[in-house]
Amino acid sequence: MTEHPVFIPTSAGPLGAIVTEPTGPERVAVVIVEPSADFRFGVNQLWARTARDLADLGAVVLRADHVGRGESATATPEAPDPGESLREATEWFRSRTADLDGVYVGHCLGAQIAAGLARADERPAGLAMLTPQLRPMRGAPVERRLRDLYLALRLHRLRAAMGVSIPRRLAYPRLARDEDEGLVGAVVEVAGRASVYCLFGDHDPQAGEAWRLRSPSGDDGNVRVEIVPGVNLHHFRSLSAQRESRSRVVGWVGRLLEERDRSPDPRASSSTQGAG
Amino acid sequence: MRGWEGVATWANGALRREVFSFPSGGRRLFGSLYAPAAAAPPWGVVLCPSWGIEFQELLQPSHAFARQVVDAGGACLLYHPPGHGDSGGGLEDVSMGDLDAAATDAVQAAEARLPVCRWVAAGIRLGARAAIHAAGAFDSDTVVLIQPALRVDRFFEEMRSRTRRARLAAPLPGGDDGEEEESFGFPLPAPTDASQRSEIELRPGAGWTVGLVSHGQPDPVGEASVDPVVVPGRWRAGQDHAPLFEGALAWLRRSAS
Repeated sequence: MTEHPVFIPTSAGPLGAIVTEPTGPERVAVVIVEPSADFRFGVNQLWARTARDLADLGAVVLRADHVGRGESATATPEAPDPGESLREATEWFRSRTADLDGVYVGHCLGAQIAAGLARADERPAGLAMLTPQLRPMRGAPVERRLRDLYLALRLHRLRAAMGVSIPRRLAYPRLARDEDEGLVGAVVEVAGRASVYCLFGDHDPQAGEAWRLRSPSGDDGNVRVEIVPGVNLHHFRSLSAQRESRSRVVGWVGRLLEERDRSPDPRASSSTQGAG
Repeated sequence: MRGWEGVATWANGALRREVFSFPSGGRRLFGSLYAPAAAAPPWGVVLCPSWGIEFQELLQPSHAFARQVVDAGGACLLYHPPGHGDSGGGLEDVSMGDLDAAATDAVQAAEARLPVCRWVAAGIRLGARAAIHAAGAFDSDTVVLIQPALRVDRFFEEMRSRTRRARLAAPLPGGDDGEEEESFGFPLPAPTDASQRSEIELRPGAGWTVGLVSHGQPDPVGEASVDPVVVPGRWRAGQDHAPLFEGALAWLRRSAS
């Protein structure tokens, strides 16, 4: 494993980032996204260590500080959306890893950015969201938003199974209102092409909502939701939260790669199978 | 080759940045250099950071400080100690000796990049200890201590108290079930660890010039000649620490002129 500190040129200025490269064959490209108030290495090096573990699996991993933050302090934010410069940094990274599938890992508000990056990727293999903030759909109560998301995911599977094409705005009328800016729309879209993994601790405020994303079978096709008992994962302010998050994300990517390797057509596998 | 090399520097008309790794005790540590773009600076400062949650809390103002040092005509090297940030090693395996040695290696890395520069070690909180160690290793007679925490045992007791306050007096996580104690997600060294005993304490020697920046009147620091910069208010974790860095910059400017 080798770590390369780099400056990535963006329209806002240079983003300071670390690219972690495996010693052996490169199998997948991973982008890790923290919320803009945090640093790229995570609490107690959570993301630095996760990147090293992923590199041991054959991942090339990008971790960048948000514009104006940490090693990106020289960059000047020009717009309130910190995801824009990160999108440019990801384009830079993916232009150098275009031969690899892309996996995106995001935490809290970083999950929202990661979902947008996964949606824009031409070769997405997976999206992992840790304690994501579900952005409210305009004017809709929480319960209806979650029910709509659940129904949309089921509809998506039905549509894929039947091979029929339904215009998105007919199939997901409520979700479509918010699909360009919300996490929900991005998740639905990414789930159509790649595995989506959601991780919560059962002490997280969002955990109650997370259960409602799951189907009765506990696994909804390309979307898998896990809730870790007895821990608050949000912001990883405990060693147990860090251990659980790191091992589960690395395990999920490992299973993703194993499933792809087992498939005779790796591209088809990475876009249709959920990593259980 | 995917082109990761060769993109570790950046410059505009006023500022040159370089990020790199350097060896320390078998680990690779992360270094980040701020320097003027046009000419070699006559002086520079290596900022030795604090530990754990304080490392993270003080990182953003440290970058602002580094930029201000360049505006004042100097250079600044920030680094991540072992077990912190993007550097190698886990905090659970890092000793006080590792942190001290890292500061010395950071000064060496700074000198390798800008050899004409007169480098001064500065340390904030627990990093003050490492700065004294680095200055001694390089026969420097000048060091800048920012709100120094020179007694290791007192520093970690403070970390424990702060953690208990944040948990509304609940026991520290891991402390009662035989697991390692932790503070805001960082593993605390055991109180019985030899490196935490009160006698493990570094002091600058006689004849040194010490820029001592602190809230309120500073405690004595050995026999050194202390040039204090008193910053209004008192040290409180999590507050805006910019005034401390401004005090350090004022001292460095004065010292360089």
